[in-house]
Amino acid sequence: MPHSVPLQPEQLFSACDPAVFAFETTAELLERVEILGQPRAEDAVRFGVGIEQEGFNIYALGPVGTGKRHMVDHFLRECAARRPAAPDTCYVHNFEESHRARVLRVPAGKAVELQQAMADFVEAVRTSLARAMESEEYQARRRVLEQQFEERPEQAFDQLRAQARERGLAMLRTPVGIVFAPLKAEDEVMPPEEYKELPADERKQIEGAVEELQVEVQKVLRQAPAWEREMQAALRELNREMTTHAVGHLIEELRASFDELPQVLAFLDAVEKDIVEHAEDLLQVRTASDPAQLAAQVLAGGPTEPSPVLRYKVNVMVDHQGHEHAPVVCEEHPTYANLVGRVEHVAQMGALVTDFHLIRPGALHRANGGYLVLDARALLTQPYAWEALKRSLKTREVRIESLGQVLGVVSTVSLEPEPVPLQVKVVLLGEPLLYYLLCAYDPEFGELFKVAADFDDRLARSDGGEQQYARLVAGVVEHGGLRPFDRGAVARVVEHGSRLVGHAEKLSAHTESVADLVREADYWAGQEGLDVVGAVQVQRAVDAQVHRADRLRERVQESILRGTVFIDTDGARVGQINGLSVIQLGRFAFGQPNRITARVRLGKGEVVNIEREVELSGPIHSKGVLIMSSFLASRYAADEPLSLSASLVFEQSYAGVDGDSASCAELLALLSAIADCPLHQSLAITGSVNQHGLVQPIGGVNEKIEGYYDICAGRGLTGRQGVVIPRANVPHLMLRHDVVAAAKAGLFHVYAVETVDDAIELLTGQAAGAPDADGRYPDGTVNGAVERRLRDLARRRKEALAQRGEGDAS
Amino acid sequence: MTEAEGTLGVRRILVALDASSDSMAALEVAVQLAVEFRAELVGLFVEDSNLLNMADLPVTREVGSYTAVSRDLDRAAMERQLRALRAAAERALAHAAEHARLRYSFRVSRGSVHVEVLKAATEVDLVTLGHLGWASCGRRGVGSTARLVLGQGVVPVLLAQHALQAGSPVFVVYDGTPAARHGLAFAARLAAAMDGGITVLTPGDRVSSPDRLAGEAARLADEAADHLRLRRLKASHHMVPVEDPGQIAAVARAGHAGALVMPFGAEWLPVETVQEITGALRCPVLVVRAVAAAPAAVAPADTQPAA
Repeated sequence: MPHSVPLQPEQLFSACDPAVFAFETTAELLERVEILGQPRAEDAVRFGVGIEQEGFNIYALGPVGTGKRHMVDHFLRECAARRPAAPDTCYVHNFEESHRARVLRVPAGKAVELQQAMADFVEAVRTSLARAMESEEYQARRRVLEQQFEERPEQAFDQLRAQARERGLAMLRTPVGIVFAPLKAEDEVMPPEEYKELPADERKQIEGAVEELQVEVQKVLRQAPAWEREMQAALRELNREMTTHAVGHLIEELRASFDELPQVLAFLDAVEKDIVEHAEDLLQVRTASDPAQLAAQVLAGGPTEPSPVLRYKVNVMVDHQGHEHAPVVCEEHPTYANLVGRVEHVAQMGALVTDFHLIRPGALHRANGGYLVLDARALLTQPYAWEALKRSLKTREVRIESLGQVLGVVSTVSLEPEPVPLQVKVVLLGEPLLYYLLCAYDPEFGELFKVAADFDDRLARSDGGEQQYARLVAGVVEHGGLRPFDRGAVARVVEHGSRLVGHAEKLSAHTESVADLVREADYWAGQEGLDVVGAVQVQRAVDAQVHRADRLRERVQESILRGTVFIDTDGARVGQINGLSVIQLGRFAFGQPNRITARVRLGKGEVVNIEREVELSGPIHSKGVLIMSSFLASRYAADEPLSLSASLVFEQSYAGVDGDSASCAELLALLSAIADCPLHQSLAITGSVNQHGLVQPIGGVNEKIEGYYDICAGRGLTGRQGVVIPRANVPHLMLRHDVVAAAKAGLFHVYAVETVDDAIELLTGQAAGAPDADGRYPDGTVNGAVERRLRDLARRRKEALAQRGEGDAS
Repeated sequence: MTEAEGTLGVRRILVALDASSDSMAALEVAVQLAVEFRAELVGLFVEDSNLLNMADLPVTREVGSYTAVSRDLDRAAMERQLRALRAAAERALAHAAEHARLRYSFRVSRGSVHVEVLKAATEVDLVTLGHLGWASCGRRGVGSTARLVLGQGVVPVLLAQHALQAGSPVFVVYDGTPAARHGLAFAARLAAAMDGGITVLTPGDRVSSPDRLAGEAARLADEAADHLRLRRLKASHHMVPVEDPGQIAAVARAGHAGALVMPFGAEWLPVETVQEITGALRCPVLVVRAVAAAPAAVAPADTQPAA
């Protein structure tokens, strides 16, 4: 196609023919989807979910709004339905080391059963023990024991009393001790006067007897503690015997109920042993309000020993009763504690105390045996949560530790619950940037998250893409309870989907944007009192979206139209051209024309990029200018020095400039300045240029064309105005309807060029000129004029240098 | 209810104090009763003359009852010990009585303990004392003073190791004698004060009437029930075999008795058995005599010196 012929209107916009849809409205569509096809990501998720090996956790990466979560959730639930329910998890008291609560993992539903059984058991034990302790047998045996041991000192004292009496002495008790004294009569101690009158022999005899008896009484008194200990031991043995009998049948019933669970049986053994040892404690139940008990706990410090009743109870952490499938857990707030669980404390007597009942589960406990879905950004912004997750996945166990313990800043003894064995598939959802950063900076990431599910932001429009869009619209309509869309409306949604990715042959995979458009169109249909949404409402929704976001665009265009920013849209000027740039504001982008000017003079062959001199030029822009300089020198001054000094500038640009999309425009401005050949100001141009003069594609082509069109339309279309774009950008054209309409009416044109020469001819209206056999460009062409001017400059420079050389010599 | 029925003639209650734990329990029960009967408390501390005499003897040395260490003893030391006990007893009495807003007096006498208690008992309407005093060396059950006062007293005697427990039932032995009727009145009053039930134990001949509620026992039970009905009380009933009155203790213990009331002087219930039952129980035991009984002369002690 000759470059001077504008593109056909149908090339400017790839319309979607409503006839491709077999339905009248989306209500007829039976197949409805809420996510768009992502074959690569789907395969990855299926693989990651299916493989059982260690480390094959999934990172689903893709822009927000591409339906990652929805798809992951869908696949996980599908996969979970094929797997059995996960086991229940509960914590019980550890009778050997009370601070290390013991974990029990039992089949789904058994934890609650065990909890209830143990609660009933404790009640039954108390009744049974009380009955045993109150039984006539126990009371009688206890009395016999007590009597037996009480009689020992009594008998010993009776003997001593009798011995004393035989020797004429009384055994008396003072408030603090025992005394032997001579008797006068049956029960009367001998008065001191009488004693003094006794013969010396008799007194000596009495003294001897008193001394002997004192030794005897001392023997008896010294034996008392041993007798006490013996009695306590005998009582303990009796209690043990009674308790074993009272509790035995209850424990047996429990064993029968859980005989297939060795862990539970071991726990029951420990319970039985503990009850036998602490039967009396169990009967004298300590309550939480018992101040002496609490004070003792507080003084002892550390984790509290739960009261006997609580000690045998069960803390159910995760209960899968009634669940048929493996769990799928989505933790929206993945803090450290919400992930690995925590040990809570209660304030008692001004101190914080805890026991195994206060262990609380985290998301890893709930997801154990199934799947856990986490948002990567949320996880990484929570202190220590990422480290905790990695540690759990590496060690394949969940260990509940307070952050204080983990960091080593708190060393008080607290509970250290036994870790729970972990088998879980973790799916992280996040942006691609986070994925690449984790890959680069966390060596463990690759080992733990081996599957990357990469979600694309676009899909092919052909190959069923348009039909998928129709099903997506139907899905959004159904899910949101919206009005059905007619086929024209769906076609307009498809067209907008192409525009979103700036490609006539692609569709945006950003389901959230499409869904928003559908919802907004439904809103406008509602405002208009319609039952079915048509293309007009979709267009209204698109326009409204743009209108809500385009305040700044309006301001920029206004300043051009008012003449504050200088942009010519008619006439011809030397060394001046309309370039095009794109401004991105959030999700809204718009194009604007920029005046680029070039000036040349005799010099040493440098092209000064003024933007770069003042550090307003980005690296890509600078690169574009250097490429262009190289092209200039190699094409026009290959065999003699480039003897000009040129300067290029984006006029009235006060912010940074980046990108190389203006390099073609800059080159043309420069050539115009060198050849003193005016350029049409009715045209704007975009495109980058390579060292051989080929025009390469650029981004934001639609916005750029529309940006220039808006200015021209604002001033009144002359029919000469238009935009020159690289030919490689033609497939990206999805222009606004008004632009396409103007092109159809011959009022606005879009030209596609492949080389700089094509662009020269379009903008100057003169032939560019091809080199002859000697590599010279013919006269009367732009290239020829450039070449001559450069040669002229080289000659003048040579002369100037020669004059300077003579001057120096003289 | 007449004045006599309201107080049962209890206007002054003697509590024998030696600062032992049982005597403190007796004090507590005495306060509970004094509040109930709006009676005056009379505290008595007896300085044992035997101990003082003994301390004067040059031969005596004291062996510590806990440490088993032998040390010298003289009268001054003994006096100091007794003074300390007396002060503790007086303090306890004053504190308890003032707390309960009771009238009270405290007296000290010197002599043989049981003689002094019996002497003081002639001036009061009820005597309370602990099962065992500190002087009961290696003894259990009921100490010698308690036994002598129980056997020779003229007024109702209450022996305590623990205070009255609110909500526990009162057990009363009823054999139809005047003392038992008096005891029934006491039991009814105690039951009302303790807010517990009342259980009547009647003696029956298990050989001739094996049915628990037949024969003499049933008749006595009906009689007791009639008496109690007048006081709007409903009692439960148990028979105790007349041939083995010691069973009373077992029945009272099994029924978690809060107090036991027994008549004194019945043939089937000799004083030794009463002592034995009292010694076997932890709850306060009240032994009641017939109202009209003439005051008996204080008999001399028939056992060992005040051990």
